[in-house]
Amino acid sequence: MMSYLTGWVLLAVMLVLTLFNARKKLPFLPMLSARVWLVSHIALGFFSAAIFVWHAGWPHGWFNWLLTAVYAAVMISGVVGWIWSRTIPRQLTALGEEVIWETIPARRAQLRAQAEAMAITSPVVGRFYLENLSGSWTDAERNLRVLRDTLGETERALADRLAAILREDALLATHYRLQGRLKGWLFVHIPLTYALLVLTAAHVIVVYAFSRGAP
Amino acid sequence: MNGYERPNDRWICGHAAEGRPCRIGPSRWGRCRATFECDPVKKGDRWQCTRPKHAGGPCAEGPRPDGTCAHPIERCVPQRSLRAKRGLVTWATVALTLGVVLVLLDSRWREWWLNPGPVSLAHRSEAFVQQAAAAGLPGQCAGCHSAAAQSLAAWPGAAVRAEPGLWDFAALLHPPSATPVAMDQSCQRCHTGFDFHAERMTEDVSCTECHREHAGSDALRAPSVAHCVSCHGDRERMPSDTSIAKAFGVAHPEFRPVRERWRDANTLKFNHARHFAADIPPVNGAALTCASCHELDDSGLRHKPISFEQHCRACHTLQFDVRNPDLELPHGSVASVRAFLNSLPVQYADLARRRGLITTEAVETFVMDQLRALYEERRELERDVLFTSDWEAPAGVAGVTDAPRARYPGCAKCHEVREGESPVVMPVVQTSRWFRDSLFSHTTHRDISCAECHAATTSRDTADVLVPSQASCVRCHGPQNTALNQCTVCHVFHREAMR
Repeated sequence: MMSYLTGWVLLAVMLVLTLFNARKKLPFLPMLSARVWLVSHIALGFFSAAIFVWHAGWPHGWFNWLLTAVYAAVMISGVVGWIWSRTIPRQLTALGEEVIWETIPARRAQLRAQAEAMAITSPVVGRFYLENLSGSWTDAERNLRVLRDTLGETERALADRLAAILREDALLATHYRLQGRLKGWLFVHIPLTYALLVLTAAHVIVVYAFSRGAP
Repeated sequence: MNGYERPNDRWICGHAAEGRPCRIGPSRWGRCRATFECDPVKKGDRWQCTRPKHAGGPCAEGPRPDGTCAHPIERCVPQRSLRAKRGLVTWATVALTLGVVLVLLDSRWREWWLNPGPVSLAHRSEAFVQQAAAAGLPGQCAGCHSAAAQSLAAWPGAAVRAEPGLWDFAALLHPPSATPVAMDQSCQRCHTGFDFHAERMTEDVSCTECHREHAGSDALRAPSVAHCVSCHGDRERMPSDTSIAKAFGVAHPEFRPVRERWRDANTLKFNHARHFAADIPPVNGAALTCASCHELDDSGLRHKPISFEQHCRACHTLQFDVRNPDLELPHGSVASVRAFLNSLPVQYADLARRRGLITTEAVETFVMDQLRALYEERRELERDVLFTSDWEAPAGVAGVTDAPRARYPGCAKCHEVREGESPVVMPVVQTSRWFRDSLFSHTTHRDISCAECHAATTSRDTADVLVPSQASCVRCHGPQNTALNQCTVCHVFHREAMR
């Protein structure tokens, strides 16, 4: 009976952990603070791992292996997400500007439009644009610094403004990458959480239907 | 900043990534709703632009004469928001998982898929499958699990009706009963009834209580010590006269023959220690050892009974006449001995002929001489043969064997011979198994000297029961040692297996 008991406890913990996602969708409900939920989610997550090991031990059979593998994927993705959520915000703060991830593509498009508008005012800058910026902007600022020393005063001012645009774009690109990680790990964690619940439901039915007390 | 920043919506404008999203945004179903920048209104006979100020205010051109806006919005292909994409991935993953589970659990691979480990050799045999099929339960798993013979749709119902059932949470808090369960019905198709349980069982116990399948071995995995001790270590659950055991060598009763100082009731007079004495000559060229007499039986577990012909006669010949060592008494029955003695004239005559005496006169003379000599020494020959234990007889007689022999001492030296109307030699009863309810393999222990367990070298009395004490076994099978120490190493539970 102990394995049945630990199994039900594990399922209950998993359901509470899953409620964290539902809680995020219903922020208006007066159900403790988001921070309490987050801390509880992390603590219960580690607690579930201990119960899982107690309940399942070393898995036997393909179905149980699948169940264990999905649980491990959920657990590992959760730990990775937890680590990222504690380290990446500091990196973003160090970048010095708060940017909404969803607005970054639009802002970068605007910067590109500004750069194009600037490029057509000067043949030299325009040529640089065509050679360096028509595709990816990677390493473009370094090339621009080389070009700047060869320019006259008017075009040098233009190049400085273009360099500022390139720096802002690089900053936005970094924001996009780091914030993308903060959002991306959930693409693993959440879908697999629900897949785990489906497998667990099947596991519970199979265990009871094939138990020694089954008719 | 544009007027459309709603990242929590399911769809976003296709132009958003270009930095110029429309101010309406897609419908909730992901359709582009872009038409014109404004919806002109007619004031008097003129159409007026209604473009809001945040979108640039009224345009210079104004609406067309037919009342349509002069600035159509370029239509887009709306994109799913990040949240919507995650939701889509989640639903797809759930659907895929559900599909895989349903397909595999309702397919012919489901036994392979669900099996938590290989079953024992007997339960994966063809005979077992046929037995299950005869009971209307096709498939190997169905031999024990009736659900395996049902469709997937029936499993939730079976899970609810199980004991304990799916929703029977109260049962989780109570220790499981050891009494028979539903699965035992499957077991009893082959293992009928519960009559194989030990005689002293106070109630039937479910087969599944002790036997755990899917353990991946050829034989069913033996129950753990803790499993046995849950009953055998509990005074309340065991009959009052049963010893309580919790761990071999620590909390385990001394073996009964040792504890109760059993005595061997065998009437044979045998001195083990005498046979290890230094003056015992080699037998068939080899020193006398335990194995000289104690031979393993075919099972390799125990030993064959000791036989006079095989194990004793080589030393203990029955040569009763010092002048004629060729003659030996028969062994095995008093009647045979008496018949032999009554036929001594014939025996001597036959001996004379074997020695080359041909004429009748010579043979008769030989017979008379031998009989006279014998009866001068043994006036009551038959009585002396049967009841004497210190008969003087040849030892190492030339011509018979070069090896020195034990002298014939009379039947009573080894046997209990009782007087009566007709003398009786009490039958020899050899006890081949003192630990009737336990398992022991001498073959397994062949690398251990016999003397390490059996005190034969100091035993002078037949009544000594030379079984080892628990301490002797604990040296290897104690809780601190590496050798197996589960209860099932020595004990069996089933009645049939005990025999």
